[in-house]
Amino acid sequence: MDFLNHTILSWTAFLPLIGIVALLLVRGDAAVRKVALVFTAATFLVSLHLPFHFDSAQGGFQFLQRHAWIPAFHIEYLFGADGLSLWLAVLTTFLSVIGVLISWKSVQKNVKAFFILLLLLETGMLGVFFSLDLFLFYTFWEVTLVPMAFLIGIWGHERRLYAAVKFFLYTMAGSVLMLGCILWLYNLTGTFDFTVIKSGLAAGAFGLSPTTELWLFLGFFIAFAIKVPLFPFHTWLPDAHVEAPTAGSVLLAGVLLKMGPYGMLRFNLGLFPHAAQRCAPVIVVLGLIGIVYGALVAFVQPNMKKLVAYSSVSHMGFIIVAVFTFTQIGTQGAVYQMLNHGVSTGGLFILVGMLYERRHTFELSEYGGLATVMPIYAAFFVLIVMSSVGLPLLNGFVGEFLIMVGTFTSAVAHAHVYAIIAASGVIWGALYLLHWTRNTIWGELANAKNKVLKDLDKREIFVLSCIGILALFMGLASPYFLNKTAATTAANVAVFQPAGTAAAALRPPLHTTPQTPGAGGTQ
Amino acid sequence: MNFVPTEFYLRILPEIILTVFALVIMLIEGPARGDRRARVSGWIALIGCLAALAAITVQAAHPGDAFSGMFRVDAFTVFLHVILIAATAVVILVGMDYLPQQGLERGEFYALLLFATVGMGFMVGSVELIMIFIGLEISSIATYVLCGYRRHDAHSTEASLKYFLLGSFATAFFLYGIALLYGASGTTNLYTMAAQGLHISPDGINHGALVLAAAGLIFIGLGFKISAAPFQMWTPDVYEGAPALVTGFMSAGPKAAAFAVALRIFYVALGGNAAAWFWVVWTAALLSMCIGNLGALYQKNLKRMLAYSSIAQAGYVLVAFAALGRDGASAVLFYLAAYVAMNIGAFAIISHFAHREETYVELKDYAGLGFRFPWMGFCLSIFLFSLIGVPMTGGFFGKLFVFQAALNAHLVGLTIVALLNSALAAFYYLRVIVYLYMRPREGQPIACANFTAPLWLAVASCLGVTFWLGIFPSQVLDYAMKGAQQLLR
Repeated sequence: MDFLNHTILSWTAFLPLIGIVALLLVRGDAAVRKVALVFTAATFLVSLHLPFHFDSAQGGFQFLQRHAWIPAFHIEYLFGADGLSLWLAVLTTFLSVIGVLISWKSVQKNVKAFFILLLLLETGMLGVFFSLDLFLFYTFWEVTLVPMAFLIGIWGHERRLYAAVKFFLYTMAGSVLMLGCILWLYNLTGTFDFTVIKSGLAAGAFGLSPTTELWLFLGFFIAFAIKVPLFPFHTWLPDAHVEAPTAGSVLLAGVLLKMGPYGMLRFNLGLFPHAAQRCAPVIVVLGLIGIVYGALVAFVQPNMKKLVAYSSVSHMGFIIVAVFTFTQIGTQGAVYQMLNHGVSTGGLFILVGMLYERRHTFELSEYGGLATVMPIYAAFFVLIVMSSVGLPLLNGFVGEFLIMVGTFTSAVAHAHVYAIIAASGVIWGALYLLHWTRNTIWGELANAKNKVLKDLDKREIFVLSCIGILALFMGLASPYFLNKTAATTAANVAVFQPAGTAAAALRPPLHTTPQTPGAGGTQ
Repeated sequence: MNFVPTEFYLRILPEIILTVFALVIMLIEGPARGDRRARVSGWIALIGCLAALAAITVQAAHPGDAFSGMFRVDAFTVFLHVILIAATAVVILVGMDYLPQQGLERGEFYALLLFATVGMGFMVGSVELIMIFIGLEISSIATYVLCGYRRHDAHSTEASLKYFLLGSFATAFFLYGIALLYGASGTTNLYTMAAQGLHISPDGINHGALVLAAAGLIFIGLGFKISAAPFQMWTPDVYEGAPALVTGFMSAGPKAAAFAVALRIFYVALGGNAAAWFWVVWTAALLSMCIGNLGALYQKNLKRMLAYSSIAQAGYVLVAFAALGRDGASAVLFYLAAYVAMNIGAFAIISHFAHREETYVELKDYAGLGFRFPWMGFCLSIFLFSLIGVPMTGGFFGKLFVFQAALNAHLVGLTIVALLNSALAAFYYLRVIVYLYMRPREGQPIACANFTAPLWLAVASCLGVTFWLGIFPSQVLDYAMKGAQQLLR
């Protein structure tokens, strides 16, 4: 068991790579799909080892694995997981299984290449969450870029080339700046080891001037802000989402976007707390703009996939606001909302993709009254939309509620104003999502083409049930998830608290936070 | 009577072997002509290269000076010998695929390649200006001829003539610089110059101005060979006109050798004057990156695009060059190794797809090829990703060490420009990949001959090296550092 605990992260991250080798060996599309499913499912099961053996009382990194990689530059192969990365990794493996299942029929050309890229993407994403060596982190960060651009560019829709190239260049531009900062940091500290750099910076060992810290902060921040995407860096997102195949959209929204806030929590807040505090007002305002702007644009979208894409901009705005108001409750909410967003927005993209498979259009005006021909679909649609709106009992509520509480109680200036504007975002969110539901599911079945639509088959029901059950489970059993993240988030925000409250925030990590959502859930 | 010690010959054993094999090819090629004989020449050349590679171990086992201190075997020499001779071996393999396809297979092609390699070997191993110049001439003249190898084609002839005229001009600059340096220092040996301090000639007169003029002239001569801006004008035309395979060879071997010479002259002999010539290198790096990348954005012809790309790549190497010291030199060496592997790999595939008479070298000809030839498409994509600098490929670590060295030397501005340039460059490399996989072919699919075993071998070895440098760079990096250390000793 000890051996397993020290290698489990590598097994999880590289099992998909073994799957790629297996895919190269098999022939025939049917076999390729099965092998891909087997390996993503196996990866999911292996990744479940993490929450079961994770010590939630401990805020630091666990399952550490360390090997020298490039000794001349002190670059190490260093994997580890803490409360931040734990659930994101499980979310990744879960959504990868879903990604394979929903591509079962919709991907018909170059099937083998598609699944190879999907598995490569999975390895890249897991590597990003596990890497504790800044260099290794950057490596995996870039590795995710290539397969995603291919997924969009080859299996996407009409304007796929434009979207793929835009996605690649946008992200690349951000990440080269990050690379520059990583190297700069290496020159200052002589190591790429995250924990060493963090403790060194916290102790003031490297003589970092406030200006240098600010530049380093910005270098990292822009790379992550593009990924989130934070207003005004969001313009690649609608294009990428609309043109991507369904599985691509699910993983893009579900996991790749999470790499942004994850990076901010881990690196921007972890390494440069002072600069984070200096920049926070601007960032929070951008996040608030994102919430409102994303929601309003989503409201007027004639294209369903764009609607969901802009809803992502809005939802991710919440997470940013929570991250940069520096409270433990808010950070807990941010982490939880990352998972929620992965589940519910992933679900929304799956729903949209299923309609597209039947009608080959994303136009909102083409649909209406689907509940009469596709009752099962309609039921799932409503459930997942409600989870995205943030209905109590479902997952979205917990995250949004924690974020609101965190923002409202934050010690930063104008916290109340922030909270109120953010709260208005919930209303906007309900507005466009319910509006969409009304136009698509309810009402009259006017369009003749929709009268012959088939309801979901078994595979589709299975996929949506997984999403639906998870949404419900995360809404009801949120303490189970939040307990494991509490120690990490407490440590993460401790540096931002005034001296007296820091200890208070650290002391009872388990009981103060989860009660709130628990109470909310049982009302 | 003085005997020349055997060791001296062992120290230039790779050069001797290459020369012998080249001469053998010329001899058997002379009397009769026939395709089969030409193919035999190819294999002989390959065996010669492999033997020379093996001889490098002998060379490496006998470090030290040879022939009155004209030639020096140290880790630096050995490192570059491996790069250059391995590159030639791969080019020969590709030649066995490319030349028959073009109906051009003749033994002298291989012999010229070997002669060029001998010249480059002397360039990187010599520590004495006259010998360096002779090496440069041997390799240049062979390359001029190779450029015009498709002699029935006006473009090829034009490329050859252009390269020859401008090249001779640049060599003249180089020679003039040598003369001035000799005038200033009274010696042509680089390490003697370094030891006595360059400003002062034996008669005790300060020749600072003369040294600076010499440095400028030498940089012009070498800048031409490495196609650094503002001496890059010839590159697009010559790269486009020359046979695709020769373009690949030119962009790798001679460029690497010229960089090695630049390192020896500027880091060793002119090391004390670094403050004076630093800004020249800095400017050339900046211009090369920007001109190369901006120029490449608008190219529809793949060979021309890679010509601009090679200008930009020279710019990245110059960034490391400007970083000075051991860090700079080792970054240059590592980058050259990665660059040679990925660039020759890319050109190997391009020269095969070019088909008879080089019909298909436009971007649009590559539409849909990625799925038609999955493995070749994959290899080409990896080489292009490596040129972009995506992690897990050699190009990434090459760039990384360059930026790291530059940051360490506090060249923050230049590093930022380099970083932004590498993001900009992603666009045009990516465009090739977009054509390979994402654009359907309009009209008839392009004709494509079967891939032959030598081509596969060549591409596979380039791919292997690209991944090896991208995943386990430590070993090569150690060699590069050792080379840099012994260079500056």
